[in-house]
Amino acid sequence: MTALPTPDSPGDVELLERLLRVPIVGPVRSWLAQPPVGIFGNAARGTPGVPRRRRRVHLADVSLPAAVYLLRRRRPASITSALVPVLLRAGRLWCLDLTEPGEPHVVHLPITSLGDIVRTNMTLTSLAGLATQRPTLDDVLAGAGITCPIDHPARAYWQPDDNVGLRATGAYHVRRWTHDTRSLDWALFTLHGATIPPPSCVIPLVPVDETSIACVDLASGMHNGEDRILRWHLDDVPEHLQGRILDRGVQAFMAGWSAERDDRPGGLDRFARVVDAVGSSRGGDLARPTEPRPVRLASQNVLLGLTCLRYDELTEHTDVFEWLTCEVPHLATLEGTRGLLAQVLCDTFRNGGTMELRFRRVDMPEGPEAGGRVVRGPICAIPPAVARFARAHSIELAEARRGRVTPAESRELFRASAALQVGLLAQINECCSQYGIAPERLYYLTLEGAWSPVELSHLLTSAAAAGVLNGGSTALERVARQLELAACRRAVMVGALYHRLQLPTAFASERLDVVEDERLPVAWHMADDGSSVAFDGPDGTVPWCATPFEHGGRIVGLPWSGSLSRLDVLAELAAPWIDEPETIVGVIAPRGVRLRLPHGVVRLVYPGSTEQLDREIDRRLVRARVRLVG
Amino acid sequence: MVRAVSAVCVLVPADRWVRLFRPLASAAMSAARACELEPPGATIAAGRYHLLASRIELLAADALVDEGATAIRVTFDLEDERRASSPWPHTWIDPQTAIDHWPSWVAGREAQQAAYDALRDGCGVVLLVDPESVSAAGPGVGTPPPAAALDLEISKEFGGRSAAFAAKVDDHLGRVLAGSEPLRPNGIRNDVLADGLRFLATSRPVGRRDVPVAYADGSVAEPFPCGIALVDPIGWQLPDGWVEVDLTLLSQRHVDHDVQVVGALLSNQRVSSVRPLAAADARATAEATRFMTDLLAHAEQSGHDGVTIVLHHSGFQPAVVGAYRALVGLIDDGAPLAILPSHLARVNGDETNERRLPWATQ
Repeated sequence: MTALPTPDSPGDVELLERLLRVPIVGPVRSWLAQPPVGIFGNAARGTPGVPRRRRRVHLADVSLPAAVYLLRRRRPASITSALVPVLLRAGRLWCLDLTEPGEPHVVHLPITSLGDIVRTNMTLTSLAGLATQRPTLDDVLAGAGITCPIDHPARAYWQPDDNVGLRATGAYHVRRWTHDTRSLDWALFTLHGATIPPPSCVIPLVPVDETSIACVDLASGMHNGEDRILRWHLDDVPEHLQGRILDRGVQAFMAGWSAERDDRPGGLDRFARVVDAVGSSRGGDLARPTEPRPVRLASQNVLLGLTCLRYDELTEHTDVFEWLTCEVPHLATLEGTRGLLAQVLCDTFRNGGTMELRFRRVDMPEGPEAGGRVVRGPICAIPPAVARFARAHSIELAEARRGRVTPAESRELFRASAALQVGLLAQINECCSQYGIAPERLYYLTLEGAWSPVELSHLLTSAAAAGVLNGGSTALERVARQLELAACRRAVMVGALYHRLQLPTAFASERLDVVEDERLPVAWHMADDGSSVAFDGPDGTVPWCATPFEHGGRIVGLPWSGSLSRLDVLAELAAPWIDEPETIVGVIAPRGVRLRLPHGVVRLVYPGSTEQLDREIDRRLVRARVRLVG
Repeated sequence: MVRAVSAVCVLVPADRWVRLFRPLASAAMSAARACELEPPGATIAAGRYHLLASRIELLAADALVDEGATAIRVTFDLEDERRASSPWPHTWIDPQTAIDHWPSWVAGREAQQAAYDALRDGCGVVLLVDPESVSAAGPGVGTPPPAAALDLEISKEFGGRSAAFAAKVDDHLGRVLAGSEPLRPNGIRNDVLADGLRFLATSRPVGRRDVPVAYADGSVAEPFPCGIALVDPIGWQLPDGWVEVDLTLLSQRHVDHDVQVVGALLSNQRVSSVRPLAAADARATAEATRFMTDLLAHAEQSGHDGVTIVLHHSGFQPAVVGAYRALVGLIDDGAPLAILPSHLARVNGDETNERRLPWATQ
């Protein structure tokens, strides 16, 4: 990301001269030094004297340097043509062309594409007059080259009328002063200056956080009658995380978004009181499942979600008091809601109830006799964030108004919050119908970390899958346990190799410079019978190998199947891959296991003994023994 | 269903067994006994047991690969192993440990003979299962089959003794033969069940040679074999040279039978312990097969051509189904065996034994 220019002097004109490398003299200089109302030069520029060193695009930064930065980034030729952006109006960016000496020319170009420059005969005075006029929505859309149906629901939020109710939603709308942070013109200009620019049918609706915007995808409405709300990041984000669905339906989204925003201060206050009450009543002990338990979800010291849970033994449902989640710049769309929902559903599953959720207000009786108790308040509607998450995943919550999520809906929400690959979900469905296992168990085991997705996928190819997922055979069924152990050992080794390949140092040298949270994009493909797993990722050094050597991006792992594994079987499994270009085929086996390898197959040594593997497996099987009946 | 599992029984030489394996085996047995404690003690003991068992198996694998220890290749039925809740659940046999019966994984006479010889010489036997021999095409290892969606109404109604009840049983058997539902023995009185089983055994269901069996607890047992050519009961007599033995179906069930019988076909303690009914059924089948095979061997030694068991019934449905499944399996292989069911009936207020149709092929 290119940093914004650093002004050494507070004056914008000097900054412009430095940026454009042309002298600004005469009446233009004085006009830019003290611009008329509405022209960029006198827009808010942040705190004077504070250097804007290494700042990125920020939605609250409406200033001349920011405009110049965006223009330069999107249209590098503007430097040589010495274009100075001075006004956003009616979907066009108005600039002064300082290329030629003397009186500057006023030109304009569409905000969205910054395409053809239209030269006008306007003077600085008439430009200042234009800055005071308020355009219509159609002017803005037409100027920007956007086609929006006349009856589109988002129009109500963009209209420049004085509908106070709609304004209160915080949506972008047509403003008189375009350097306003809520101006649709400014939002369009900023949005299309994103690192990955959106298509022209994506129009800003409301800011999500300081570096992303909730937008309406007009194309979705035209095709299936359903407006998708996308979250568009202005900064550099992985391509697959850009433009993820935030919600479906403009009105539902805006109603929920503003209600959530309005309720947040009160919710934070109530949550703090619950924490105080629970802390004082338990005296530092952990609360039981049947008592109110506050839950905080954070990532990298940023708070993502707050809620409070209580399991009801009588009706076997979970009461959820308060629900506060938010979107943050460094996490994917709806990640806060997903994470907190996963926590809640895992807790509900662990307690052995019906998976039903009921959302309630929390009541804190006042007075000395109340003793700081937390009392269940009345049922309230499902929180907007949860409803938004459900809509984004096309899950219908039938009793949303009554604040109730039925067990069947919980199962759907659990599936969505587990965020598993499509292929793995198909495997899970097949396993559940074949073995009679509830899918919640598999989602729970994945979210609790008992089995990672790649391990689960490998387990599901095994005949021992059902036994393993139910926590393994009983203590003295050793024959069955022997088969389960074989399946588990293979799965754990495959999971460990996948984890190793994802580390940034996996393909590099032996230096230990692991970067927190940084993962390489490695994809895995499981054979139907689990006999081989192909890992596709960046090329580098083969891990777990006695002699380090390079590979071309693909490693095929053949997990060791036990003491009776035969050389001819290994050769047969390796045969389809052995002649593939840039592919390394390796047998994954624990340390200390004696193996005979077919020609062309390397040995990948799992960094643990078989006994260590078995201890790890036993730990995981014990974790899986929840909610077992009989 | 997971069926045949290939494995090898490694015969560990005596000196190596004593030096390396026996301490581990003793510790594992001690951990196994601790598994009967209450949690969390049982959980810790189970973890220890499995770690020790893994170590024994890995040592045996090393002995097989490095030192060329003798190995016997065996194939056994994993579902039977699991359902039978074998009295010897371990994957090794110590020559110093006395076991009543061979574990089901020492399958086949040749394997048993080889294992017997090895144990006599002080060698240990360790089982190593080949995981690749088990496919994923069925309910998994160590897990009961999925609960069938049973219509329990019919089972509840079977408790009656009226003509309407008999008609309902007939209807049920008709549907079983048509393949539209499994046989549900629960709730059927034992004499009616025995007659129904005979009817099914001599019938030919649509499109198959057996009928599925499902119990009210959701467990699904082995199918009951059909299409057996039993003799015409009219005018049937005990063949010449056969011996008649009076047995009760289950021991300790009806002490009134004790004066009439010389023994019990099935041990009540072993068959009726708490487990899924299908597992009790499998256990009853295995026990009855073993008992009847031994009985035939004794009869042969004492110069008899065959055995007729007069079976005094008692009412535990999995035992009834298991006993007759074992019989059908044996007589279908040509064993000189017959069962003459006998039920306790009340006639004019007096209890009397009522004999039913014989199960015989000769």
